[in-house]
Amino acid sequence: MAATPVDDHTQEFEELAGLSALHVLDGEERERFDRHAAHCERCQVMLRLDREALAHVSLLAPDMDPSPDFKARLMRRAAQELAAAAPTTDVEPREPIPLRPRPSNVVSLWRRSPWVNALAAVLVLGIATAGAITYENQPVATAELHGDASGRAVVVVRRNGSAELEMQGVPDPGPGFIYEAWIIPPGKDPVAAGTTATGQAKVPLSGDPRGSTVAITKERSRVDTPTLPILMLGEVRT
Amino acid sequence: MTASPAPAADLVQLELLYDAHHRQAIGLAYRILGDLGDAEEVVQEVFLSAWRSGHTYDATRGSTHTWILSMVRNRSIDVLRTRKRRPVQPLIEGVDPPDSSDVPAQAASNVDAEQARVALNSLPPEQKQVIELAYFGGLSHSEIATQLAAPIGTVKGRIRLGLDRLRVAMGVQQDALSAS
Repeated sequence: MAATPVDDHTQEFEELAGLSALHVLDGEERERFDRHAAHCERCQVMLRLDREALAHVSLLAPDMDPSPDFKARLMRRAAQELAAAAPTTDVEPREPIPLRPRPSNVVSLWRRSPWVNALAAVLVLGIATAGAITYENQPVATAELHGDASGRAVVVVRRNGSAELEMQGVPDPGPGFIYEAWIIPPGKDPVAAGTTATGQAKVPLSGDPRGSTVAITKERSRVDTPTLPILMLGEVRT
Repeated sequence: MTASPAPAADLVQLELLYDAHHRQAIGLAYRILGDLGDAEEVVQEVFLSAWRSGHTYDATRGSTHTWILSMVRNRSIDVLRTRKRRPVQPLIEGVDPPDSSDVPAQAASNVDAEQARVALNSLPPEQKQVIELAYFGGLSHSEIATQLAAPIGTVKGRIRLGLDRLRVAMGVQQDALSAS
């Protein structure tokens, strides 16, 4: 059913709807249009459809790389926000303990036992190792796969070179079938990279997919060459 | 208003969102603002805003891409206007965070860049020109009228006609308008 204009609707309001959709309407004209559109169904619909059409114009913008450290800055800021938003324990603040001079007959802990030194070294090494592992596990490339299958499939490549295919909400392949992942280097044949029997899985990929296309097919068993059409695929940029 | 990160929000979601959409977001902001630093400020705010609101990466929603680009575009236009009013002010100061209230929640995801290009190129040149000046240049109808030395009413009419044609060319469902 067509949206109904109200009695005070004029062609001018339809022109203002276009300008509003373009986000270039302001001042008195914007107030006048907003007041009118609040009760004019036709203008509301026109505004929505204009915005939808204009959203596609954005696809004409060129791809462009940001500064090399841009992503790191973004992630750092997000991490700071998460840290600031972390819940704090509701504990009464305590009076600070006053510092007092150490008695001259007390030996510093670090001088008391070599075991303490060893323990401290192990702790420092452990923290450093954990940090290194976290660093090595950071994703350095991701790619979404698209195709006929519903659900989500994303390839994540980590700094240490490992890669996995994360599938969420993809329908199970059905009895007697599996999903098989493929790495397809440019100009070369697909290489089997992993399998899963469900559409909800993390599949480690046996190879570095950066610079290649990753695809998923449904197969009756693990095979070395795809036998059925590709369901989803995507390019993993270096 | 700045919302706190949603409980489920985590850095991986932000990273997935970023990796999937950032290059064209940067390209769009740069095309409008003409300055990489400003473009990065805008894109950073948009991604953080999307992430704070719990907008997670979803490969099945092509509309996420146009949603983010619409946010980037509107935010860039806001920055352009702030520049015009107060050209020496810092970029972010005094500008509200990105507002998603006037971007389409669900733009059809079956339109790709080539289809969009064909659709825009199908418009008569004078209609295409005013839409591009408004969309990528952030010019108001009066500014376009000044630039083209055309009456304001003419510019408004061209924009309206251009958008009507664009909706059809983009395949936007418009049964709700057709009979009135």
